[in-house]
Amino acid sequence: MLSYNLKLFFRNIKHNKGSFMINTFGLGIGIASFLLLTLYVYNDLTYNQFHDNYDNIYRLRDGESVQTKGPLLSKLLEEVPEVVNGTRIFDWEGFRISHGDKAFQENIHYVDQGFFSIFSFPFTEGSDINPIQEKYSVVISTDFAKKYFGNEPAIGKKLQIKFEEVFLEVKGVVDIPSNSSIKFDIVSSYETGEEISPWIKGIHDWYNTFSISYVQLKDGIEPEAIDEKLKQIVKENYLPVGQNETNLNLLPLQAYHSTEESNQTLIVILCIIALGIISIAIVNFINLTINSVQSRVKEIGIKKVHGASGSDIIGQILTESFVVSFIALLLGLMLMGLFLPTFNTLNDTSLQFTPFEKPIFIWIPLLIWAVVGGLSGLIPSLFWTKGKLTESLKGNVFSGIRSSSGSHSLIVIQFAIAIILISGTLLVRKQVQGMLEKDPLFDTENVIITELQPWQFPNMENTGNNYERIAKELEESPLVESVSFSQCIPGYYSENYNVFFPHGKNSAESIHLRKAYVGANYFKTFGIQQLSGNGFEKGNINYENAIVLNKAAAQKLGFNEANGQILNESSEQGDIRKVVGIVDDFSYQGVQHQAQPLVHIFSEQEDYTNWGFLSIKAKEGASLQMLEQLKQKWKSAFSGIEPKFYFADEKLNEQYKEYVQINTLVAWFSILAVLLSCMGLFALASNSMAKRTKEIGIRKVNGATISEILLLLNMDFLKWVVLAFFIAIPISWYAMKSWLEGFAFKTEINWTIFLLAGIVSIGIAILTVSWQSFKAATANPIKALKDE
Amino acid sequence: MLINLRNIFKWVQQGGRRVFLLKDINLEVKEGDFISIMGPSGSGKSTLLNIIGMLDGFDEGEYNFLNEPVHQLKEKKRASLFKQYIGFVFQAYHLIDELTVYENLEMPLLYKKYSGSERKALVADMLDRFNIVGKKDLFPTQLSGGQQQLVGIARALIGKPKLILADEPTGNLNSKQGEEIMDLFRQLNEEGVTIIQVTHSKKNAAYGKKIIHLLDGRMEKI
Repeated sequence: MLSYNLKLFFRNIKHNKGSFMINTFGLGIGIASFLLLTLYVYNDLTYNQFHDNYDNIYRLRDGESVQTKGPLLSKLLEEVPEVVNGTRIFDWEGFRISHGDKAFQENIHYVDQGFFSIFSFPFTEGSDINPIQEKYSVVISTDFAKKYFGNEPAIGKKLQIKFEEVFLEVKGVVDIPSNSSIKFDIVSSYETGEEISPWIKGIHDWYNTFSISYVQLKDGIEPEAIDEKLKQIVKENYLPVGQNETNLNLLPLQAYHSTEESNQTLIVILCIIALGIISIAIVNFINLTINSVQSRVKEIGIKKVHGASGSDIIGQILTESFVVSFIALLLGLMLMGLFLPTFNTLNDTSLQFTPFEKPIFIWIPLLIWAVVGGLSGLIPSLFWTKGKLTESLKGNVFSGIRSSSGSHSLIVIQFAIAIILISGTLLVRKQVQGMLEKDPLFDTENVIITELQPWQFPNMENTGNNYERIAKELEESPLVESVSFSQCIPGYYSENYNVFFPHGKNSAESIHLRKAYVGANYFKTFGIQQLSGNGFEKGNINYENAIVLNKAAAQKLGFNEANGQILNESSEQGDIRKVVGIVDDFSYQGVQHQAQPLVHIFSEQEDYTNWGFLSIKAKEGASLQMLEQLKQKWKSAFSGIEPKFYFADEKLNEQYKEYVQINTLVAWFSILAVLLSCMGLFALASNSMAKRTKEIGIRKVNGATISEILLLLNMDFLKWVVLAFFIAIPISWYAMKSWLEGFAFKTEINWTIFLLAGIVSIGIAILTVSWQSFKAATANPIKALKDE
Repeated sequence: MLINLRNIFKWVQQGGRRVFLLKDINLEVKEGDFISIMGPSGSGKSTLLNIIGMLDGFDEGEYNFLNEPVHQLKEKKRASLFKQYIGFVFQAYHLIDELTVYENLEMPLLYKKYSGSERKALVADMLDRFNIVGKKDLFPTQLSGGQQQLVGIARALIGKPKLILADEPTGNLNSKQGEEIMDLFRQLNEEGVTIIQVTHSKKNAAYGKKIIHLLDGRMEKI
């Protein structure tokens, strides 16, 4: 019987290729989208869970800050018995690492010995038992291994540091899961780090916060249990001793990703999109199944007349619906596999579909299959088996069974979802455009930045001289307005903060400022407006200890103008800083953020290789010519080293990458949602037109024109789409408003967004329905009336 | 007695009033009968045939089939009576378009749980008997109307029913094809199959041994 049912089923498919294709493809797309989004969300929700000690690992925080003081961890391990293990991570060191002729600038992490016992990184080579105990031994990531050694085994390989005769030895390779908060390319021990760079030792004191610390608590110990002990440690050790009130606290690793790294609004949005799309797809599938088999009511009738029982019929229908939904499921899995790489590129992720490692990805497709197959089989079964046999032989078992309110609410829901997604896409786009177009208050057109890459060069002195010479030559060029060396450029300011005390004031008025070191003419070169004083202009002025504040910092300090106010850095007796200028709040970290109070400290370097960037402002309109000159100069000085030049706003615009990604993601899925909704509408329209054939025939016989009938038929659907539009607007408006709350720069939510979304969806709906209604309206009425 | 209908009434409610489809039908059919039901459109011919064929119910009266009271039987029992004894022939043939001639003939046997070899033998018999062996792999749309109806009759007969119910079996055929079908019915009847047919045509009605006239749901004469 099964083979017979299948045979009949496949022949039916051959006869109804069109509807079968639409049906399976629609569900396939739905399943693929759902799985992709589920992968993304699942990956986000299971961040860091691969660590065996996941439940007991905590990250230490000073208040909200995740950077901690150097000696803190050893103190905790000594004095708090609940803390059983711990590690610091120091990730501020970067230098050239080479193997043979392969050389790159690498960010090396120094960690304590506890690192590989607290965390459970899977080793592909070597083992996690004390891999970095010996000095100069390192563990590398699989990406790093591939970059340097290709497919050869990495273990035992030597890596050269800078151009010195110092080598690191690879003792292990780990495959870091994509959903790990802790990522590294190469790690070594603190002992190794302190030998390579002795200055590291100096900054691990009770003042600086250069390290990240993780601790593992004893099983069953809640972090609150050691609160008192932490307070005690702060009191006894933090500076000034006895008075420091820092709230040292433990952030569970479980909460780390969601509080510090992930955009939870995005996750919620993606969940909603995923559920919306799969529901649209499932409902469509059931609808289309019912529709496409309506033509087969007669077949069922014939079978019943020839002895088929209700269960025979249900068996047949279920077999078919399970087979079709299985095909759709396979198609969905294929489409997902096909689009996963694109999806990964779009989102900068490396998601993989590994159902055998993560059984939940076997259960989800199976569940979808069961739900879709079951529902799309059982619902029509109910009609068919209950339907009157004598009626079904005439081919009209459905008359009056399906309530129109049901299918209309379906249109409303589908189109509301589609309109929300379209308007969301438009808004995100508008916001991203707005951020890109907002004047960053520095010159984006005439400034070219050279990334100096000093790590590339073995001879520091020579290199430094070359930098200096190039800068001088450029400065004299008629094409150039000014040049400046700096450690930072807009879009790339390091996370370096310190506390500053206004001289002669109460220490309570101290202020945290982000620090940046820049050379002469920095503000001039970048065209940043000076509100008061001077911006490190080149001249005969002595800028020793001079600082320039941005507007936010000046306002916070209550300075209206710069007139040599004194700030003490670090403590009331600390280094003296003299305010010589105030500049506008130019955008240095993206306009999504409020301008943070910022201090630029004047710096002069004997050794020019200490600088990170050389920025050159060309005369109006001469930037391309100047770039040519720059290229020539670089080439003749440093042949063989690929130069890195970019325009001033390039790094800044990278800050908006995340939002561009969200925009693309939402755009794609709204197109899918619209497509799926249209498929549903198409099916409903064809169903409804079929029901109204007679009515249309009668109207035509009585003189209705084609356009009048088109209008009549289209209005019947469009009014529901219009209703969907009005339902979608407030929901969409609310969602937009909450999303924009995270931005300092907010684009305006205006009516054009909704209007455009409405026009697009109503337009598409008209096209979809007209396809059917035109066929119905132009059909020969005699044919329609003869049926009866 | 094969069929015994007593005081059968069937009605529908329309605007609060009862509209009678059948009024007080009394009918006895013996095995081996060949009955033609005649009457104008809307007189209730098909309704009566559907009631006899257990495809439709009635509102009042008694219906005994082989001395079983159909009106009191459970659905299951009724279905098994129907399966065992009744074969249907339709005006529009009602063959399944997606199945070949062979498979259309085999279809009822599947629901009657015949084994594979039995089915093969029975279908082969039928193909032979109706001279359509050469057509067995064709689909209904590749056959003429007369040929389709032939397959329809063969399908009705394949389960060896006692009773064939035919609803205007020649309605869609030209006169020559129609004659052939009616000849076939006569032949089947002579072989012992009971036949009840609904027809508009006097000529076809004359093939029957007995003619019933219906008008507005009432039997006029027997």
